[in-house]
Amino acid sequence: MKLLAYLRSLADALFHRSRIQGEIEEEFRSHIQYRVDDLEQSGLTRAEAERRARIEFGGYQRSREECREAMGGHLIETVAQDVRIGVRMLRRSPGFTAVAVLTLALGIGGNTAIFSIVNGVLLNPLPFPQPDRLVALGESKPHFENGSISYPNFLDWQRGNHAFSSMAVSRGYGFSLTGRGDAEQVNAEFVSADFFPLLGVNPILGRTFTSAEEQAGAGPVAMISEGLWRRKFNTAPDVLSKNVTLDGRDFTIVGVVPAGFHLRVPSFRESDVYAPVRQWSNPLLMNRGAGLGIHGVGRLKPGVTVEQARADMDVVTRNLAATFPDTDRGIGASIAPLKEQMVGYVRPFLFVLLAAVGFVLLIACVNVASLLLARSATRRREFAVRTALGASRGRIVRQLLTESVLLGMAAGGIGLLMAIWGTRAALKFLPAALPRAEEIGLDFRVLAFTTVISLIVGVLFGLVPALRSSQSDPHTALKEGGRGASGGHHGALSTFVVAEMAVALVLLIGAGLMVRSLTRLWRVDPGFNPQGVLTLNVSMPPSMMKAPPDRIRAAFRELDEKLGSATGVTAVSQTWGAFPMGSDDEQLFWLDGHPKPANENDMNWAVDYLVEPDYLKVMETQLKRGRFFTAQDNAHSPLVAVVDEVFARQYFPDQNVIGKRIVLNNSGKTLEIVGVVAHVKQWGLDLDDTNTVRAQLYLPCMQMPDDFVAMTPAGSGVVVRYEGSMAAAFDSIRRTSKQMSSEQVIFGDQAMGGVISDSMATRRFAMILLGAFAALALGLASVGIYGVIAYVVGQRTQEIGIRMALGAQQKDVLGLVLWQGTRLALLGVVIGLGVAMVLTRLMTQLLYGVSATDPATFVGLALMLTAIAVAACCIPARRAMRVDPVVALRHE
Amino acid sequence: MRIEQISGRALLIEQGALYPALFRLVRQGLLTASWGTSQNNRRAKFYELTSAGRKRLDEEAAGWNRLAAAVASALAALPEEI
Repeated sequence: MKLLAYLRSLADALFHRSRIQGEIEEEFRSHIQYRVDDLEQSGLTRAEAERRARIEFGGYQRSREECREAMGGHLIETVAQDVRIGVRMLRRSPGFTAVAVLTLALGIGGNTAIFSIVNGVLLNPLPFPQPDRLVALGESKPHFENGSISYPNFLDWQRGNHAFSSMAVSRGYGFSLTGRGDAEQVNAEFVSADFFPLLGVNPILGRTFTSAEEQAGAGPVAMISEGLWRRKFNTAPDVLSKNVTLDGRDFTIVGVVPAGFHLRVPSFRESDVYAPVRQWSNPLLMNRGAGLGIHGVGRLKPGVTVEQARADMDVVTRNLAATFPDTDRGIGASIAPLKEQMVGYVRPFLFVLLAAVGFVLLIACVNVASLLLARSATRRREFAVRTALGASRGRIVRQLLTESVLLGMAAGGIGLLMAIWGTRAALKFLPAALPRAEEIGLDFRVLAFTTVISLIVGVLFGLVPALRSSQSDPHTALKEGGRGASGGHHGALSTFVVAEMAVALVLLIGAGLMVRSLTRLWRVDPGFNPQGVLTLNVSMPPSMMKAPPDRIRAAFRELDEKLGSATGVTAVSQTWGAFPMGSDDEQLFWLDGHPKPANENDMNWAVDYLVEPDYLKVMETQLKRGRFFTAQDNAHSPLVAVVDEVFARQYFPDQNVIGKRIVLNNSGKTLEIVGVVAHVKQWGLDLDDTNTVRAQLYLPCMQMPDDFVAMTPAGSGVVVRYEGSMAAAFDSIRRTSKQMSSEQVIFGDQAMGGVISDSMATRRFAMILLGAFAALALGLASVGIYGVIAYVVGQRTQEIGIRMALGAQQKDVLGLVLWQGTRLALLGVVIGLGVAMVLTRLMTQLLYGVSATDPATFVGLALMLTAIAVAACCIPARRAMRVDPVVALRHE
Repeated sequence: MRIEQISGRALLIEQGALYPALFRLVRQGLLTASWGTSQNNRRAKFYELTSAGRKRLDEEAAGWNRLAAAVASALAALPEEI
């Protein structure tokens, strides 16, 4: 009954609003009329009776308001009314509205952009079915946390585990594709049969590999990418019955992989050709101890956690170590969620950026809040009138909040557009910076984020001004005629300025530390000169794949000679092993005269560069002692090696390394060290110092064993030093190669300078964004302090006029105003320094060569911010100085 | 006006302020309101207690009387009784 009545009156209030209002009016009128009649009967004149009745009735408007509220449902009505009034108010002061909306839009836009990146990269699940169950697999070895898995070990893991529903491996390769137009080098991945089913990738045509095709001696089959299908087969539907010639062998095409398939992990490369792993002709494939760059993915059984899987694999690997102590002692399985593997390293960057952009928004809010507060002083009369007419304080606060939320929503709309545009531009500009970049975009979550943040922002910056300005007593406000005596706002405004300065300083220091890290990194000597170095790959004609090793060696010598004489080229070397900041490769060895260690993990490890005599000339790495290789170091001469300084220090401390001997595990051969060169930052400028394998070993290509040489025609790395334009040098190299054989392919050319800057892409991305945010914060904060001081000067014009009339000098006034601003700025700077001390510790991971509390950065930026703040105060201070006391006083 | 008269002008209520209270009671289902014609043939709104309203009135009145009686007896208490 009660509920029903309530609902009915609510429904009435909602749907028959005008009728209800009319009814209230009518009831009031009838009440007054009734009383007027009574009074008239008691002898008063009609006019007097009406007057008396109205006085007795009391506040008509107020009662009407209260009645409406008592009826319920007033909320929606008043909100609609507030919105109407709000829009009208905002339209009436377009300048204020534009500044406020734009300021907020910058903040909201920045937040939306960074959140959409966080959302796409960190939050969204990977685009595979049940992605939580996917993990990345590797062998953990004494020198590598996440090293490559040997294929025999993988097979035993697959058989022995209980935690995985399936496991698969992949290994990158380059095939030379011939017989369909121009010969071409294509990226390939050797995969085990479960690879695609495990990831839930369905071929758009045909099928994936069967386990029979993963056996030794199976006929060559391949899957091709949708791209290759389009490019080389014209999207022919009967492609499945066709062959593709790779490295001179015919592979039967069994399936086409959709173009939408992406797997962005370092160990995998989206390719044009996929073949069963046993099709890899590497003789070491079945060697249990070989580290061949094979990495794995696994799908956990439902309900199995990563920890359980680790425990399970511990048992498996311990059994293997017991069975094969020579190769498997000390080898475990490294298991990490696939998503972590893909994006884990950018998490600290993104969180720092999210925090930074949040601070920018905070400053924007504070700026707009002080604008509103300054403006509310001029609106005091309006509020006073409304209060006098019966508006409650809550009602006025609500009105003001509606206005600020309107501003917030408008800013949110514009900010969203800015974010869409900005993210797109940033990702285009720095494509290498982020994994999963293609998945960044607008989705429901980003839209929800923007909406919520716009609402919060609206309330956040609107609340303080609204509470403050609704406090005023209508009597005084109306009496004052809307001028002066708004001193009460100064406290809030000062707090705003202090907060802005503090936040801006925190951001500046964060950005400053990033800039210093990056400049430190750029100044790190990589141990070679990347300028003027071009790296490329060459794949010899398929006929060479089966040639005897000596013919291959001769072919490479001829290739070097031809490329070396190409215009613009000054030096050439093949590189078959590791390459600085590019690929890694290791040799196991022990010192000559020592017994052979019982297993591989007890041997010494060194990064190995398999190069030719001109390598030092190309890379401009310094020779420190002895000699480098010459053309005389060939297959028939004594075996030699060159080491770097780290190697020399590590294995022969305080001895002359030249003439010392080491034994290689691969070949069992003994080599003599003939020279020492400078250390090269193999693992990247920032990470090299902390890597576990830092010793470096150079071996001459021409002395590599026959079985190794036999594999090189399929794909050999080449480094070239050039003069003049890189494009011209590359053109002449390509022409030269074509003249040698139309089936020889040059591919994967890259400037070495680009390799280095790519290695810093993520850090640079963070620095550019952080710098942009800091600049934005600085700009907003300067405008903020300028605005507040200008406002205060405006309010104090009379006071200044009086002071000057009483004899104050211009410089006194200047000092007065400047000090007012400077005091606030200094307070903000001190607080900012304190906060930055705490917060920059959180970004230690992003820094290089500079401490999180670097005094130079802290002091320098604090001084800079103070100077800018003082400069911003100068403009209003000079205006104050020129106040004409006569004019100022007449104003009253 | 009747309130003023009945209370002997001890309770002075701004007439307009009565209405929000009435509306609130209607909304709570304690009163019903209907338009009718007054003795001198004017349209007027008549408020009537519902059964829930009557019950509530009895409760509140009893509560008030208890409180009033308690206060009265406390004030009337002689010093030696304390």
